[in-house]
Amino acid sequence: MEKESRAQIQNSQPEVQNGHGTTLAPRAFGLEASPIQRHVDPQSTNAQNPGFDLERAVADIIADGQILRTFQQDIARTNLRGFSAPNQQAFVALLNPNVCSQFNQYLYKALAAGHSLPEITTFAGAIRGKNATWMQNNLQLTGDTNGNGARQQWSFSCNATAVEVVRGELDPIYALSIHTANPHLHEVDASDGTSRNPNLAEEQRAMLESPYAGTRFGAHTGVASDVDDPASGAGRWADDLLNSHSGSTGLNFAPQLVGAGQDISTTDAIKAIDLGLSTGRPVPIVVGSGVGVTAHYVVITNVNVVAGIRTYTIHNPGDGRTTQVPLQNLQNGNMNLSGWTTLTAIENPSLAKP
Amino acid sequence: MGGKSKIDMSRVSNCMEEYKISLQVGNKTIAYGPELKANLIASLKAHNLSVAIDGLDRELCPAALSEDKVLALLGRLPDLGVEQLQAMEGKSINLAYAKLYLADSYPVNITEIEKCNLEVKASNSPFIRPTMIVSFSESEAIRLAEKARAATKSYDEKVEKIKEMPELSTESDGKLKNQLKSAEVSRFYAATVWHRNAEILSQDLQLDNWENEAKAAKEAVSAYQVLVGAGMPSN
Repeated sequence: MEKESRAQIQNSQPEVQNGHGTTLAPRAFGLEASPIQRHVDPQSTNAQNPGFDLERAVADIIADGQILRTFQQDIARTNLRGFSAPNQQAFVALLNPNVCSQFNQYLYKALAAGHSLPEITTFAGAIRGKNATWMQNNLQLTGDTNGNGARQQWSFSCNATAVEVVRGELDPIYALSIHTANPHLHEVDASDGTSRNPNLAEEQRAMLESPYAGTRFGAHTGVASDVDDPASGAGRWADDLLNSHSGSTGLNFAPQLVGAGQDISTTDAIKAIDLGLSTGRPVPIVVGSGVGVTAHYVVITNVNVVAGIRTYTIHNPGDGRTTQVPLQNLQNGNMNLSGWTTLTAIENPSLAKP
Repeated sequence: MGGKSKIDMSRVSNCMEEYKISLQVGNKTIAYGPELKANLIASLKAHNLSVAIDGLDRELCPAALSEDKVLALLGRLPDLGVEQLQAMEGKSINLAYAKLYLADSYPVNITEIEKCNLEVKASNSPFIRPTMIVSFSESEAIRLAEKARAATKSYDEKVEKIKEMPELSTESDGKLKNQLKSAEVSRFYAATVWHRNAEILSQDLQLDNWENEAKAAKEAVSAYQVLVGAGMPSN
């Protein structure tokens, strides 16, 4: 629960324990910093504010692997170090004394996504006091408490929706902005893409209809058409769109066609998916009716062992649903993602260079 | 039928250049220039191949474009009014837009396209979706509507038959699921062709006896709607 008010946190300066039993130093500091304190080296700031321990603050950033993805931990730590000294202290002052709280994990995640202190401060104010259900339903774009998430608003905007989903998985401020502007983001008007979620639809249209800027495939662009009029539309690869957000996601994506005679085998593709997921990287994949049929983007967000079976959490922009798919179905081309069965391409994620 | 051989492609290209108009075929953009016709025909062939569904009649695939109809529209382009051309300036014409009627599934003859006009609405999109102002062939619309209605029924029966197969839920390789998907997309496309032709008969040609059929076809489109898939280029 995230019930404690910001004022309480700032005033109480409690000693608390993190999840590893380590006692943490008090680290509640005022948000106001004098002009002299701005833009100074963190080391000298420590001397001016002996109560602030940057190294402790950095070490406190520990990914829970669910909200703050494992690979985001180091990025968040680096980004905190990159703040000016007053901003480092101001950021720490926003945190909940319960180091392991979901609230803190989301703030760390916003930090990892490259947001500025003012953006994170506003975000902290928006989510403080919200319970876990609210956070699940508003701070990501997949798997809400009803199993819903972002849905494509056009016949061929699965690609753009996959980009939104990846961003939403890694940047809670972006996810909240999408939820705020699109309260019904898992719904669609099949006859008018602009009517149910105009904001989401316009973002998807702009991405879909932008010229492909990647290097793996030739020049092309998608065309938006209503869901009930697919004949008027066209699809598009999304690696360039995904990579245009590397600054906030911390990831680069490389498209690889999957299957016999393609870039990589299904077995190796699943290994690449597993490798990505092992550090919390979402993996967009393309599914079709067989090898060479690149029909539809979905996003794998997680993997778990359910009743002894390795099971992937996959968000399908086609119906806006987040579902579980057993490994065997992924291996054998026996999925059912809007009727598509077979893994035919992956967007292989790697860490972006800072 | 009209004659595509009569079309002066350099005149078409000059017109496109003057108004900075390009053409969109599926996910390929085609610019003006000396290779306009060759690029267009190659793109149409690739596009039609990518949208084809095994076993589905081309007239029942609203995404498949007619080369002759597209060329007839291009031939008309330089003779359109300045206002129509200016409305398209700097944009790409989405040739697959339904109301351009360039698929074989629409009851528009080439001779009509050769004298058509275009109505263009402003849009944020880089693509324009002009409505072709044209006379429809009543006999063709009836033929296509009846053909599509029968095909919709036939594909519906096929879908239901596959759904009843017990192997569908127990298969290990997804073969039946793929057959089901193909049948569902074919049913949806056939229903779309049925609806559009029935609507042309009911609304554009104002044949009252087609009003109920248009409603029934619209309901079929809604009921049978499926995600068709992006068909992204493979190279």
